[in-house]
Amino acid sequence: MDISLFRWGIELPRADGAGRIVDAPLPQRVGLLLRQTTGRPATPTVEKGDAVSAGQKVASGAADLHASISGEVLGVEELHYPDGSKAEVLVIQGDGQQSAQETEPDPKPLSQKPDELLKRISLAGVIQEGRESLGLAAMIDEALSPDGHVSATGQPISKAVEHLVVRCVDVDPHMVHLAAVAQTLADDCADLALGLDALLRITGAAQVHIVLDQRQQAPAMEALAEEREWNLVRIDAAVYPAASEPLLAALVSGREPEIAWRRVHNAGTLVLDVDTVLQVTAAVRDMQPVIERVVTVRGPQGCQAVRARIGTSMADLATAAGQQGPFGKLVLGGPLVGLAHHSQDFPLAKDRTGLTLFAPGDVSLSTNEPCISCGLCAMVCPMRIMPGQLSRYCEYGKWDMADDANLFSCLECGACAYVCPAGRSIVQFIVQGKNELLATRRTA
Amino acid sequence: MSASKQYTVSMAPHVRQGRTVRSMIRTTIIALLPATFWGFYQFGFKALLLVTVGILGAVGTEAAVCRIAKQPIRIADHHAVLVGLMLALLVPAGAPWWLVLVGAVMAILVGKMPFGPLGGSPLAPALVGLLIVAISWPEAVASHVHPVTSASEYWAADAAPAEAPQDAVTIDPSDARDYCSCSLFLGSQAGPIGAVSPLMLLIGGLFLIYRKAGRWQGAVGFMLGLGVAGWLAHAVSPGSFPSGSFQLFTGAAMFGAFFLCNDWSSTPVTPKGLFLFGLFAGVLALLFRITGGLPFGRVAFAIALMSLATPLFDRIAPTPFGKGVRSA
Repeated sequence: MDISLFRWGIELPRADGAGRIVDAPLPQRVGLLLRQTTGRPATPTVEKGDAVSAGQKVASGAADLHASISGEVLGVEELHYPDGSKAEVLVIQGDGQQSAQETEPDPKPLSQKPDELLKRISLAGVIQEGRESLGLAAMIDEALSPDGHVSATGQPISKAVEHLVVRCVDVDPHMVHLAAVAQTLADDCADLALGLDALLRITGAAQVHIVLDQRQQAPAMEALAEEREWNLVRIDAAVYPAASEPLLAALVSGREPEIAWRRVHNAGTLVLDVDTVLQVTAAVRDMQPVIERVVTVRGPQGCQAVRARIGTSMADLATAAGQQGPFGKLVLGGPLVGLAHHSQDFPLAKDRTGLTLFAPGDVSLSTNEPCISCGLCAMVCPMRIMPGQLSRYCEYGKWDMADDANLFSCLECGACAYVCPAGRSIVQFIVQGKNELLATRRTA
Repeated sequence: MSASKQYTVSMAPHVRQGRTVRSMIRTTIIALLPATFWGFYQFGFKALLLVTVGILGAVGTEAAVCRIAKQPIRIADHHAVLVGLMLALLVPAGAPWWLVLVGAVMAILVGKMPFGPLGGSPLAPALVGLLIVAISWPEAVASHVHPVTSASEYWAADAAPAEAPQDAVTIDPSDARDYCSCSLFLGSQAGPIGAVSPLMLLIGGLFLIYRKAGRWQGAVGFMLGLGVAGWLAHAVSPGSFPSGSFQLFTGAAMFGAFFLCNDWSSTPVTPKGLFLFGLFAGVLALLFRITGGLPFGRVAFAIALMSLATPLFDRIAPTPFGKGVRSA
């Protein structure tokens, strides 16, 4: 018996400003974060003073890094995350020429072997944004690896990719970039089809699902889906977080993926953003590495999809989107899950979905009053856990009780804290609890 | 890097809905206003006086306790107003003013403050106050009076004593036939000031749920429990038990369903737990009524007793996402 009136989630007003994508002017300098993925940072392959062209490989690691503008390497600088941890950044001073690396397109990428296609994706440094940003090639490689993974309940998880999901809706309804990219494919989606075909060839997935908002006009995608017998899934993107990875995986596969530690054990479903698929197309056909991406810039002057070079600083990105200060808070990512930075020098990484700017008066401060047990958080939680109770356990350091109450099922989507009338920093408490537990397990 | 401007940092989410505890409590108070004004209209100036005493008593006590305990004074969140109001609405208009004052003081002193700020009370504070005065002065608390019929009666300090429908039925079940469901639903009989009109409570309750300051599961569960059990009892023995609608429309049944089952801290968090909480409390209230040893506050006792089991109801939580038992 399901007697909860709302199954989960929060309904948010959709962002307006979708549609045209603005090309940001070339930044004078870029900072490439050496640690774009979870895991070890990449190692620079260029020296200070080297001249680089756009698209040239400058660091190798879990996902390779490429110069996003042409110019001179100024060296590795150190920036800080707001928690004090260090971030190494390879800085390139632009020459304004934009001389690009010569590449030779492959007219028939689909006749290549899967291994070759995977190698091209790896060389292009494609990253899929998520809770754990992984190099796409490494992600697929792991999914296809023969050693079976065993879930926490002891069930072996089938690791072969069955469902390939293309997300054409923004997870956070405040954002517009994925809808804007999908809009460019409204009449011609040959590029999307090629990228999907390449991914199908690599993974051997049985079914492709294209996830669209119920309002999105996409005649070309509809035709493509019909022709190829792919599944076109319409969801209401105004309900957050309906488009998040585990919920989409559950929707298309009929199985809820298990969430343990910080990983979504997807059980055969690969969820990719539409722009990631286009990056795959560029990688396998044009041999083009990832040097730019479409992001959302939100601020006092409205909301805009912007095509920006990787490594553009927040200050340059704000200017490119016509946002004027003064600002009180700068967030890389969306307003619901993004990371607030203390300085505007921090650069855009490949896995960041945008930039959110708040005027000084619009900065919401959490009041962190005591929980009143109203239960609103439990009503919106898509993971069906009790965020308020978890926040209380973590507030008082009861880590093991929090663990027993399914702390690690939390997606950190922030719906609970969004509705909390007591203004509690529920996500902060939960993340603190996870970190404490991970630290104790590591030492044990 | 440059010594540029520093910006605010915090964990996500960086936007919030904008609701506050204060606004939710205010919504609850507004939801109680139709029943409150109906009480003033029905019982006259006496009712207004008792409500004022209740609110002042509760707010004053909270301020005084915070001052003595050197705690920040939080009366601006309106919760003390709500406690005092709820307490006053649950007693009949014929009750002496000092009784309401003692109830309001005890509600805050015993029911709220020992459990820290909002959200810790195992029982709804207004219930604690009500039960304390109901046990201490069982006759004074049950001084039901007739609704006023003229302007002079409206301002009178006392009114003719009356028998509340529930009490009449406890003595002689066949009396239930004397009450018409329509007038019971409107609330033109004797009863507690704010709980006498199911219509007004329904209007307020729906507003409460619409504005999401309360949830429907507890209210529906309670009404189902009390109503269905009442109808069953009536069907088994029509001579000895009044009908289910009589049970729903008299006493504090509707008040309990919408407002006492939506006291945040003393009721379960999960929707399913809240529904079962209401259902059990409803059945229990019916048992208290038909086996009747209690002269007053049967619904209040039933909900208070169920509140003690709230931690158990909270264990009826849904299975987290992805943790479903899969068949091999």
